[in-house]
Amino acid sequence: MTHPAAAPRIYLDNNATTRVADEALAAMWPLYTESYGNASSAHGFGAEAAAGLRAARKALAALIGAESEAEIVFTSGGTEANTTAIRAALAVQEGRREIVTSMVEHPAILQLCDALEKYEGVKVHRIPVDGEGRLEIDAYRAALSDRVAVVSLMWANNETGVLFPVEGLAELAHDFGALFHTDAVQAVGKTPVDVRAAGVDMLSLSAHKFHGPKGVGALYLKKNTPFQPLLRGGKQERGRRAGTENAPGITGAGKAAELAAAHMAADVARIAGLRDRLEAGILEAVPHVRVLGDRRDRLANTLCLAFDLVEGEGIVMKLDRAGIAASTGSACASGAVEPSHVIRAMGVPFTAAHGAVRLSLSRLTTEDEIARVLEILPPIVADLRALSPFWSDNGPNLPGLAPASLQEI
Amino acid sequence: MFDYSDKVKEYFFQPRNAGVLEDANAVGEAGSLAGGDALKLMLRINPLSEMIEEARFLSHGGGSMIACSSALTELVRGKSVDAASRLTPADIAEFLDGLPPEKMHCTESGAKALAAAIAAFRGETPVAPERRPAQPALVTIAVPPKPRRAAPPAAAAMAARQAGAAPGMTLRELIAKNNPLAAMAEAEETGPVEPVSETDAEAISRIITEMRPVFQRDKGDIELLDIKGRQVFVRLSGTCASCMMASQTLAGVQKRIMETLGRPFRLIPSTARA
Repeated sequence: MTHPAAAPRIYLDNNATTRVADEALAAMWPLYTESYGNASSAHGFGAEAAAGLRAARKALAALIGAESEAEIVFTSGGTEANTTAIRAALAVQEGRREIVTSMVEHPAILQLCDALEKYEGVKVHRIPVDGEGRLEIDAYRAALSDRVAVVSLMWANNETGVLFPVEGLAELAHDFGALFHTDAVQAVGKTPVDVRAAGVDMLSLSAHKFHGPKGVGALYLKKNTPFQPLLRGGKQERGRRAGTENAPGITGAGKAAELAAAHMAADVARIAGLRDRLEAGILEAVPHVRVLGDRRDRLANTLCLAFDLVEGEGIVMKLDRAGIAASTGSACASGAVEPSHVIRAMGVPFTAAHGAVRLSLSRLTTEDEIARVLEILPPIVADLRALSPFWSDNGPNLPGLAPASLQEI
Repeated sequence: MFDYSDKVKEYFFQPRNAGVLEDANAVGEAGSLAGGDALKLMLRINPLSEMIEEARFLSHGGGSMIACSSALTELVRGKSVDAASRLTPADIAEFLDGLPPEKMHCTESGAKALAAAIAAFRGETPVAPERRPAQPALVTIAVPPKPRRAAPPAAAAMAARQAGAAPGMTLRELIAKNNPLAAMAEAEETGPVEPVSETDAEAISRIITEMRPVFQRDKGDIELLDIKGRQVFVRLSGTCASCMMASQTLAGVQKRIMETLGRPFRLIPSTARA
């Protein structure tokens, strides 16, 4: 099946990845075709590549408010940055064998913690969230002790966009002498991030979430933070990450960071306006839908909706056919499609948990696109509900089901 | 997203035979809302020729579930009940040019709904309650010397009043009062008695009576048939008999019974058929 060619496609899956900015792509090109030396080499080709890395390091440091460019360690992406941070924190503090994290972290953190628990005897505290995706602070306090090597809590949730109060969370961790890491992959470039104000020791970021290329990320490592590399070998990144640097990608990431910093203030306000219009329009046009996540404290670009009594995948397939890219709140787990761990952690009622759809905007999103989504999405939901044995003309058709599980919004 | 075949996409985007079949005489269901996938298959079967003349579906689920449901209706239309009963999940998958492994369970739901519809047509109970022919019905109530946890007398009396029971009424009489047909139907059965305390029986009867409006609201009904030891037999009728949400409601009734009496009971539904 092909897309109807009539209208241009609309991309609303920017939390998955973004379009590379033209300026970033332009900056990358010469590093493939002319300045293609190894940044470690002592000749002009290498020096030109090294200059690209330096500029990128500076731009990224500026974007996140790092004190020094030396605090930026380039990686292959967010997953590597996360793994490096957690493993380093454990390796440098032999007496501390516990990790505190949350139930709604990205799999890059959760799967790592599962493996550390299973194979390396590390104790993991997974802090729950409330129905709006906010961290249960009391549970967090209770999990902290001088046995904790590292706390890893995300800055922004990839599914709901909910922001954790990183600054206060880091302070609490430091009260117990634990290191504080934040997976800020969804936050950097989308919302102001200041590592010094937040008091974090380590932060992970990924370039492709803010119009940079895929395969490039960075770990912010605060000066004097004890560290051990994950990848050993050459002396790249001051011995903190071996392997020839992806100079073109890193250069592109640097350009994307510059653009994000320059546009941040204007972008966030405009994107929030579009997102709010989209949200209001859907809530008005579609009955029995709820917004997931704390609406007062979330990323400006993210709208996570749970439609009662309809399956998210069906909505996403029909949107795709209409040329609109979105994603579901479901993940494939052990042969069956289950609501995501985030949706389960939030205790979304089962009548809606399978109907989660995420729409995530970017600075490239236009008003016309939002208007078109508002034309196309409501009838799609209505069509799928018309097929459902749980839906009648008047609404949900659920004999005997406790009304509490089907709250009206 | 999954890599669906063009056939799956075709049947998802333009599903054939979607909607309610008003004159269905065989309905089968599979899956659940909680599980994210559910199917209601409605067939009109010619009672003389046993040919499936019409098939329609309602389906809740992702692309593959809706495609499987629609494919199933296409596969069974025009087939004899016998031929349809030989269809397997693999046949549905083949019809759709295959499905991703994560989605193969949709074909199983299709086969289950079909089996349930055919069983309904043939007058079988698809999910048969434990049928133990030797096990007799309750004839009289033997009150055990020391019920493990009886309701306080005042509460028991109140429960009995609410259930419409006169003091000293036996379970048999209680059931006969609320559901004379059931009592008559089983009056002839005899055999050893598994005792249930009168207060417990009254409490169970009361809970079911209280829950009736929930079922009646949707043009169905629930009636207490019998209590044998820790098995509570009920009859579902009307729309509840074919409603896939009924099992959820029944679970709620069962939970209330267990919470009230403080020990496990099993609620066993039987479906009233015309």
